[in-house]
Amino acid sequence: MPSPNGAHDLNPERWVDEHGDFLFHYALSRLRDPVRAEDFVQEALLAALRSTDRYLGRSCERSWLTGILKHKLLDHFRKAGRETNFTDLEFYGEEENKTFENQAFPDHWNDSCAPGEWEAAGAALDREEFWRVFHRCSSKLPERVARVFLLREVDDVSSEEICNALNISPNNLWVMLHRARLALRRCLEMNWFGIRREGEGDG
Amino acid sequence: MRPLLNWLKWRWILVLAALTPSCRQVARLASRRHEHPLSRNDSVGKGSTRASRAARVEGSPFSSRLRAAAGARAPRPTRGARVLPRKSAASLQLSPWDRLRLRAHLTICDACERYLRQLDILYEAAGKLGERLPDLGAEARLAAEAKERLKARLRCERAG
Repeated sequence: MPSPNGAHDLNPERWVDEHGDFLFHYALSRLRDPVRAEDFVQEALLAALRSTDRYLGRSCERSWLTGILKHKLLDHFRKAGRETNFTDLEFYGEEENKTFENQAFPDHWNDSCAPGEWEAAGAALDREEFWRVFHRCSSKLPERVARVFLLREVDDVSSEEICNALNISPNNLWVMLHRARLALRRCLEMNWFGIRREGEGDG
Repeated sequence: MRPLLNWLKWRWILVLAALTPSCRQVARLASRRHEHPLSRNDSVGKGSTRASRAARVEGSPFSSRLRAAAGARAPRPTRGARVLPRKSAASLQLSPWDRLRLRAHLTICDACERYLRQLDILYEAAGKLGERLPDLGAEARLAAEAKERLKARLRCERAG
């Protein structure tokens, strides 16, 4: 609801207390550097403060602030992408080969890595411990692969935009996402769904 | 009679195995499917609002499988039902022959069928991840001093 002076319900006084931890965690999971994460939270909050008149009240305050932070991070990745060769294609390549190493049927699931049955998978999404495991698994992904995965799957940024921002080809993006999914799947299977095979470590 | 049926069953499985794509190809195809714009409801709206999230999950190609897998009491799909829903198979932009091969593969390959359901769960989990702050301990939160620094900076900015 707009207030009499036209501004919508925003409480800059309480932003840090109410959304600071969420924004920091958001930035930290994408940057993996607490100092830079704090800098980006500050930048996003300052940018939000300067543009309160542009807040239309269509989304909640947290979503609006997160959107600003997301764009700040994308800008940062765009600049960094121009300077570095942004790929992590070697990640999980060997594991992927092993996963589909089957003596009887080439390129079929290896018995020791084939997906097991995930019991009560839907109910897991409501449990706090599941999210801790999920976070632990995603933090095991290489930084750049995790960044691509979070942008695509969590932030719903289009593939085209990610390729432009990170200066990578659509094919490289797809390979990174594919392997990220394989690795996450395997990590969750071992550490949450409790399906372990002989010779497996902590994943 | 039984040995004959058994023999026919194994012949059928071997024929299908020879015709169908490999598990690696199916896994790659499934990842590509998740990248396909039709599956993402890109036109619904950008950003991570609840509306677009809900639309995205609804538009997810394997959402019906996900719902079946999600509920503890949900019945396991019957073997005959373990094929791609017609709509999602069509939006894969596969030729009818490739679609048939894929369906045949999923009919005989439980591991790939499970993999596709697990991709749905990953997809669903990733969608929810953006809305929650997991309890990960102090290192994943802003320190008290950092909060004070931020508040001071914001006060300063507001004061002009």
